[in-house]
Amino acid sequence: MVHYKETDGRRQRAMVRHNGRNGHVSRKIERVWQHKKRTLTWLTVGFFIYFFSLPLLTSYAPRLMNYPLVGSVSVAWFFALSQFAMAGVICLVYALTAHKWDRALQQATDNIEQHDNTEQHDNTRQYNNTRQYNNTEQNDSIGQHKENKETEHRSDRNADNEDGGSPDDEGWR
Amino acid sequence: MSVTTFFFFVAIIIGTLLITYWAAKQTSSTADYYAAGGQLTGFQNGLAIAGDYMSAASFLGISGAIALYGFDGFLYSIGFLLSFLVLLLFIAEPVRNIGQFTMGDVICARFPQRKFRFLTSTSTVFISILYMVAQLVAAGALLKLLLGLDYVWAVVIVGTLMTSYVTFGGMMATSWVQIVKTLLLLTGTLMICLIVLSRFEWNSMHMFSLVSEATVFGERFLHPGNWFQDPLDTLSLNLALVLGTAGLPHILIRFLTVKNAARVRESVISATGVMGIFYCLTIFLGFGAVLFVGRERLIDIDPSGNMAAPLLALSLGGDFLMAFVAAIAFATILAVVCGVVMAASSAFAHDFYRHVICRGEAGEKAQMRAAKMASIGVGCIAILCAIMLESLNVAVIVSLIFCIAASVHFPVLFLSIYWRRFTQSGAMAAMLTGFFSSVVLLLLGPHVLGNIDVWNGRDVVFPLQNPGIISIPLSFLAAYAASALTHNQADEAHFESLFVQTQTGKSVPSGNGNREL
Repeated sequence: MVHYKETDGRRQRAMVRHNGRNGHVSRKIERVWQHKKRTLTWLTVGFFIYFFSLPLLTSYAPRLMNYPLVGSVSVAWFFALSQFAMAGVICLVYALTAHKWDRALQQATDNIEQHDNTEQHDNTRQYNNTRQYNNTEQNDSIGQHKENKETEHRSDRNADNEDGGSPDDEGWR
Repeated sequence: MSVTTFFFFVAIIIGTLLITYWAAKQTSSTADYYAAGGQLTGFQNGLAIAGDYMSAASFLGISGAIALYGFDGFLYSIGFLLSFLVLLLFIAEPVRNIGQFTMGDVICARFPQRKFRFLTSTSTVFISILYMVAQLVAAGALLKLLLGLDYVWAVVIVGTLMTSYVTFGGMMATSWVQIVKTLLLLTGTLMICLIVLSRFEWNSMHMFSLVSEATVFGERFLHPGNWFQDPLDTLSLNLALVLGTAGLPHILIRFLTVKNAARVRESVISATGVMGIFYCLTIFLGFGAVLFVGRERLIDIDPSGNMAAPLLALSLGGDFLMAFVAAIAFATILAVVCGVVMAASSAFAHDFYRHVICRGEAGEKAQMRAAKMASIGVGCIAILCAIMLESLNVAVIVSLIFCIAASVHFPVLFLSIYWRRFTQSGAMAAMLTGFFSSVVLLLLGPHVLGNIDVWNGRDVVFPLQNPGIISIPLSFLAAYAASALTHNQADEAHFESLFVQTQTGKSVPSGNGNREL
């Protein structure tokens, strides 16, 4: 069970209010974001403390850092090399967790209504659409790629028209 | 110039031109030109990001710094590498989800006003030209030393090559030149490191103990503090390095060449892995140079130590290895500068020409023409500046670039993606404060003022070499203050819909406020 703080509740309400019938989607996304925010905060705090303690310790605790640990290799070198390991651990933790977020977001947005109300006249905008890429994956040739782009473009425009056309339509809210 | 060196250089030039020829045939639309059609795989893009990021400063600069100052040189390696974690955690995926071709797209997804297009394109072109000039000056000096080429010719050759890759091959050519460069750089570095290690019977501890006796520093060579003495300055440098990468336009546009956020994640993680291996190996390059070339000889040939890697190759493997390493250094510079030209060209054509001048109405052909003209234009400006500024201190420019990127681009990007109450006045205040504070503090600092005779280095107004520790928080503070003062401007509805898009890549309309003005 996820507990929302007051600010989170406000965000959630704002999302529902402004995203209209996609409100249920926003709530799911919000839930994933709460988890993501916590993970990112912890990873960042850990990473910053660990990283900045290297220049701080070498500046303010030189005796500790210069203590030879193995042969003439001092603590500073081991600490410096451990930063690489830390980077590896953060990448690993992030990659594994992000995979879960991806799946949760995918489920949340499976039914999302795709509208692009910004620049319907602009075909390059379509390029940015995630679904567009899924189409290009199956088509190697550039020609087909373009054809798809146009079909996609047309179908989106049609969908828009069915919904009433104007981006200012009350239906959005 | 020996025959081997000549052969390697010609091979690199022909190879990269063939890549460009192939890429030019693949490039037919602006999407292909700006973002390689989104066709790269995560791993390919990871290699290209590594190739885009590891400049001559990494290969020649860091190995030289480790050879001259020991531990302190290695701090750069760590800062450069760990900056990718900031990208991975906060910036890379949202940039892919809301960006189209440039950094301007990302900021203007939040603030669609034309003034932001103008500001981001200007700052991108400015940073890119600075970066190109720094790289070209370094390339000129390097080729002069390695090949005996005249400085002006060296700059003209590198400048012409980088411009032609981008003009003809766009992002596709840039990406593949960078991928090839990363593979070459890794192979070369690994080869030298294995030779160095084999000379110490594969015992790196033995190498450390020999190094501690080899220089005038004695044991102190292995201790921190030979280069960075001011703790605050060290901290400031590290802060600018770690946050600066997340604001470098030529790195950010690389995330737009793959098809979705999951691929971006793969890209950043594989780039971090590849660079992690490389930056670890810089220890062997640096120490090898100390032991096989000698500190005195390094300083004799180039006081900044930049020739450490090629000289190490010369003493380990003779002319052949030296020629190979020189060619790698050449490819390294080419790959980085063509990435930067690409960033400047797309910022000019897509943000400035299409959105500011033509108000979003420019056709495909006109945009392509503008992009190609822009790449030729910025290429020429960079070549001319580099020729005029031969004696430029490259370190100043690089520290300025990272500082501007960290104080102008990073706060605005980060806050536009994550802060709901961020307003356009806040964004404007952050960008302007970041820019002016970093430039003014750098001008008042020891790099510039300290070098003017009248001041004689004693009375610098601002004591730090790198102003990041002041200018970055200042920029965030300005963003907060201006947003708080203009809280009625905040368009939370638009933020919420954009937020869904930053997280999922799918757009949900907000109903208002997200149209191009």
